[in-house]
Amino acid sequence: MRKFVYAAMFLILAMGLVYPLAAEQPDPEELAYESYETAYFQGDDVRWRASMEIVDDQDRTRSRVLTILRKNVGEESQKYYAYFHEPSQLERMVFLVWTAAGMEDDDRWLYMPATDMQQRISGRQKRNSFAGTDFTYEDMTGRHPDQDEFEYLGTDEVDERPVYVIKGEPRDPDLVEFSYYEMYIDQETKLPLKGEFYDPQEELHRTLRLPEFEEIDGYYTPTLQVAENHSTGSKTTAEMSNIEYNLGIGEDIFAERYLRRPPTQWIDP
Amino acid sequence: MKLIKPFVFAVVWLLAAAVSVNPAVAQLRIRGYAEPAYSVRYGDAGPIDDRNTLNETRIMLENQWYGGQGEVLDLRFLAKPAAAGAEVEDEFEVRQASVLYPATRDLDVIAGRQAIDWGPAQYEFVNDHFPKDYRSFFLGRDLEYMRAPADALRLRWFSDYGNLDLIAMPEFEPNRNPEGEVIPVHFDGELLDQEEVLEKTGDKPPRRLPSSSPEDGEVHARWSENYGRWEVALYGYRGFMGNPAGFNADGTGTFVYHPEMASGGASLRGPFMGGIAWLETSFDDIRHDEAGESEGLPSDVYNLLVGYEFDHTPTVTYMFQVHWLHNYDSKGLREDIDEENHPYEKRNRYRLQLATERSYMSDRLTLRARGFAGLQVQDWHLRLEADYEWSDNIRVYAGSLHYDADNEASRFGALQDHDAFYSRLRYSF
Repeated sequence: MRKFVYAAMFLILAMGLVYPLAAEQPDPEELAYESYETAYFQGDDVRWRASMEIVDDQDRTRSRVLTILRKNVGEESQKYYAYFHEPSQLERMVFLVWTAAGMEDDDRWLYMPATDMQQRISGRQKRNSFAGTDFTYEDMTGRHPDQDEFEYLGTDEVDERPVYVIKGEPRDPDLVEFSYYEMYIDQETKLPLKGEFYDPQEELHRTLRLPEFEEIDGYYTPTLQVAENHSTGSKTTAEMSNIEYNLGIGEDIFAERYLRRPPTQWIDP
Repeated sequence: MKLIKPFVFAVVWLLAAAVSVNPAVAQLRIRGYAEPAYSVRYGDAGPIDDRNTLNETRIMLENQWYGGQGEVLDLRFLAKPAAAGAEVEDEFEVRQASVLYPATRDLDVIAGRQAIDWGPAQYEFVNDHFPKDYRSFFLGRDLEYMRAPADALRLRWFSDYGNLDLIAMPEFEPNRNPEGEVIPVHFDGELLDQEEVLEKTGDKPPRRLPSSSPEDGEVHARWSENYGRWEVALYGYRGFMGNPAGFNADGTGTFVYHPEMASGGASLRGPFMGGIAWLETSFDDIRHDEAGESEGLPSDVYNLLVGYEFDHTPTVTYMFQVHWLHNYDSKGLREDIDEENHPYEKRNRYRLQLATERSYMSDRLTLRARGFAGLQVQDWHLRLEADYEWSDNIRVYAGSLHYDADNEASRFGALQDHDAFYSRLRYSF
């Protein structure tokens, strides 16, 4: 009987010691979902202006200025409309993207003012360059967490802010150019402050950073993002401005009708 | 007559400029590009001695003014000043002078000069009967010039039952084909330059157009709807063949003309196995020859086209499409021309198009290859191009055009001595 009491006391003590430790270690998948929702799904809709500067390894610069409209449709679907203001050779170019969780490929349309042609384009490759920048399409619309398996790596600091570090490995490696990535998620806001992507040789080949963010309309919102391609030495800095949430943007404008003529109630061409 | 369009355009331009003085619409600003281009033929000269096929600077000026109710005034003006000492004249073209007016919540009206295209195929036009500028295509100009503008009234109706486009063109606008200026043409069984063609026709126009009255205009229609992730479209057309495929003779000599035509078709385009697939079909009914016995009339044609494009990697894209053309009532024509020696007029023709695009340096440099080929006889065309984004304003293009054919009457036969290198530099402002 005494042995049983000692054993029970030991078990209770052990549980008391171990359980809090287990509770402190967050679920990496939950973190990934929370971070994805925070970075890409806040509000019913949002409009912002992105001013991008691309600097290549020889310090030559190019620019992209665009207005982006995003609308959440249902639980896990979104529609994006991107209108280019600059440079002059891309002015009036429009990307229309419909994306949904669980879909291997997005639905994408492109209007090229240079050829004055609108066309539905392949949406399978989400990892190709977005309009010649170091951002990918997936950086713009988000990589859904169900595409990866996650592992919790610990805590760290990014720009003096405490972060959780998780590792994501793609479930289908054939669809991506990286073998795994490490994401640094702000402990307070759940924004992904840094993402490091490693190639199959385990060399760091791409970094995404989010050095600045603000609370706008009650949502933590990135205002500065940086994408660096370590393989090419190219870097793109994107400054976000004029950010407004919940404007009541209608779903009807995310359609081919508005590729050639921008919806002027939402975009000042 | 030639001066009327530039004059009308100048008036519209001045009106638009006057509008821009209004601070309420101060966003109006002129933009566009200047594009010097040069190309040189390196193959045998053929009937035309001049090796320099393209030596020009094109200047595009454009503006779009957006009104408060969704209306858009769209102006695009192309100028090609003649080079110093050149014998050719300055050229001006109104590429676009249109007003879009959203008449109701579901209806857009677009009136004026505009370049229109439709159909999912790439540079094989099955249901797209809008005018094309093949001259620009074969000279190595940018592919944007392949769509020739026309005066049109366009109604676009958007509904829960699909989108309907109706386009009326009061005057027939033919395709712009080489006429022997710098690219020889196949005429009356021979490969000739422009002067030789005129000699054969007794200085009469070698090509006769339908009248400019509205009865000889064109009507285009397209209905489209998305079913799931696939777009389904139906098409209709009533007008004339874009190419002068009919031939006849009168007291003054041989001439070619644009036979009347009606066409109906359908297309399907959507995601398939990680890429985009398309299927398009049409029946072109060449009018007034139901028995198919008129020697100078081409036959009715059934078209079926299948295409597929996919991204092999994030920076490499492949595309292929096969176009089957089946000639129906061509009894008279076929008896007259001897099919064995004119394989171009076979009852069934197959055209293949292959293309690949590779981008480097975050899309700064793009390499393209596009090949067109007839599958039954040697008749092919290859375009190779490198496109480099030098800066925000400057883009440089360099490429080459290659042709080969067994028969001068085939699709690329007249161009077989026209292999050329070209380069263009576009400065956008």
